[in-house]
Amino acid sequence: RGQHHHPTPKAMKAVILIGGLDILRPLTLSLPQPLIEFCNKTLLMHQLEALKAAGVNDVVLCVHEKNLPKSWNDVITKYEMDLGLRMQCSIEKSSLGTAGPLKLAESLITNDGSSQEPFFVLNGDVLCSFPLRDMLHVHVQHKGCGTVMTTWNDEPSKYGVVVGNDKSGRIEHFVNRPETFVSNLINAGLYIFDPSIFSRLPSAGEKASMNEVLSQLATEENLYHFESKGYWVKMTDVRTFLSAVGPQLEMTRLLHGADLAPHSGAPVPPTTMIVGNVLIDQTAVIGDDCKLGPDVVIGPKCVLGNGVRLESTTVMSGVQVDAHAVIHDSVIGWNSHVGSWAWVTSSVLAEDVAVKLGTLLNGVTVLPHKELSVSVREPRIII
Amino acid sequence: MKALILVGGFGTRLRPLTLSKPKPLVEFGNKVALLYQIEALVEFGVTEIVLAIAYPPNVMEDFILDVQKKHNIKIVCSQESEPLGTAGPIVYAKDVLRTNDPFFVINSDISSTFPLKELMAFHKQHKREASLVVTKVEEPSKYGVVVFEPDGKVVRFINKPKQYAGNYINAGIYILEPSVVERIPAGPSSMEKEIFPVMAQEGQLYCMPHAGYWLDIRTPKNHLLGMGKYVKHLRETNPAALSTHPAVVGDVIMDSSATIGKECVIGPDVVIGPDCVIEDGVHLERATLMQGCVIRKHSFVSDSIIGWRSTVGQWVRVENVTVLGEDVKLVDEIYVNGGLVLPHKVITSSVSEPKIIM
Repeated sequence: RGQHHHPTPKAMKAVILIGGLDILRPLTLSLPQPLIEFCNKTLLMHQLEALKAAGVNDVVLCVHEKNLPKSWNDVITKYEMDLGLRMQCSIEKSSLGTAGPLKLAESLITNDGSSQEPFFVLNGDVLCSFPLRDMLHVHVQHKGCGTVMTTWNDEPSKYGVVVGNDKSGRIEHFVNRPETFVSNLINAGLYIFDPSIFSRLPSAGEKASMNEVLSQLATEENLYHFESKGYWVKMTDVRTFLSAVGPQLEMTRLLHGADLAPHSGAPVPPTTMIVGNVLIDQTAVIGDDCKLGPDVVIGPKCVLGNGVRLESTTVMSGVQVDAHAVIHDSVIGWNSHVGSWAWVTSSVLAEDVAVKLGTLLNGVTVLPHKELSVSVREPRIII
Repeated sequence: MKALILVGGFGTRLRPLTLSKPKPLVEFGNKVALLYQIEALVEFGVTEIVLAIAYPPNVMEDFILDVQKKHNIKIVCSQESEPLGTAGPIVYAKDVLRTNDPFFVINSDISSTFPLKELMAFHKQHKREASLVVTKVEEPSKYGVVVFEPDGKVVRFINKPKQYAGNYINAGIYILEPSVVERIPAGPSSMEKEIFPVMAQEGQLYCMPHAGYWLDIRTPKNHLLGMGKYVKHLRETNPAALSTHPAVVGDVIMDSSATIGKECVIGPDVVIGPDCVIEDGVHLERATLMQGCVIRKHSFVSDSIIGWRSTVGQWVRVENVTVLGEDVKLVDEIYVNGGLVLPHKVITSSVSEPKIIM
């Protein structure tokens, strides 16, 4: 299954834990989560590109059976070809927790035991700056069996919390969901492990918690951490997904500023104002006298009429936004149509939603293929 | 012949507009509200009008002088020092009114056609003490309901009935013989509760149904509803008064000094006052804009009243019976839902739930 590439020397493997969570509804009623576009590139592509840049050429996707669409093999083949990576799937049939899927994929990862090389593990619900090369550099310096990426967080009690040695980077304490304050440094859900980790995981097919495993490894003085200074967002719903756009575009501005509007993407008329960081696909069409941004993403083949105002909003491919409409803090799903003078705030529209002229939607989540012609002012799900 | 217009008090229900002007001087359909009554009376041939008001007349002075000159009619004020209800002002104004002939009494809080010639002909024919105009409404329980025989004789007059008694109500337009004034005691009293019911029992009260539109316009919501009916009435009786501007949809009154930008949609049921500036891409529906308003680009205003010289910023949405008082400013990109904004305020953040901004 999949193409077989001859690995280059020091080529690495990686595991992406996609699992069974379906946190991006209602968008995932149309596409599986890894294929949802974040800043005009699928989540999977973000992860794969970051892995490839760190030297990875062989990726195992751990996916729950219920999240596999029929066309998954075709999708994977296309990614393999476009990126020059080998991709394989390990399919879970039951819920295996945060570490169980890793054990299940052991033979794929270790080439049936023949590979002793360290490998990356990424949690599929994490959006971040992916400082994987730096992390690898840290990992190969120490002799531990694993490196946990950590990040500073305001509300650490929800996560696995790390107390690390400032000089050596070794994890001295790892506490899962501490009730009293331990530290602000949390487990960011990205790891590099030696294959020795597999002996530390319960048998394949059993549920296991990564934070518990790490807790144990930390007491054995065998675990190190790498603190990422870049942005980090754990996606729990479309709102948190959207909140990562700002930091992601800011990172783009710092590293590849020319990729943002108006330097890149579809032509922007001189009467249209770009505010802050805005990403526009080159096949979009932008009207006159619009005001776009900050933190706006406009997907392929979108059409914006005159005088449109978008702020902190992602517009997926094929969306039409008619003249003088206003959209704040929202995601507009593929091929939707927002009518003139519509007012959409804090809302998520799934695929193919039509919003009639002048309609107001505030805090509304709309499932696919709906037409809205009556204003909705109180947060609601429209099914 | 003379007439009495019951103007009443401060018009607190039409605040914040009435914080800047007395209620009868607030414009309705680009015309001072009181002029509708006055012009109807002038057309009939009334020679003297008494305004029964509950506040000092000096705020009305310029207006009164203007009307007197223009229409060659005498206007005097009868100022009450306390609220006198709907009957009290009539006896209170007795000495100012000074007449031995039947006289008109008209409520100032209504928007209506005024069938005065027909009412007078009807009154002369039945020769009783009072004639009322009645009108059919959908929610009669808030008003004085009139039950009458085919010849117009009122059999019962029930104020704010709790049980359904009919759809015809007192429209606030009457002719009274001077003898009716003798029935009214000094002090506060009510035509609907005290005088008319007794007169009905005595067979002295007659009424005439009225086919035209009618609305009481004491509240912003009713002002807007009344506007919808009024422009429809204009469409049927005087379509030249409506705008033919290409941006217009439905029935719209637009002063000739107003300017409209490109890609606007104006209407239905919109009134745009003198000197208003509507920029490109503005959508207005069921809205009244008083003199000197500015609505900036791409904004959307529905079911709201924008007070004199107010400014609505760019990409703003205003709806749900928002009333901006005089000289209010809404900054760009906010949403105002049912906001009542007092004069001279600057609103810098959205008002997502109906409330009063003081």
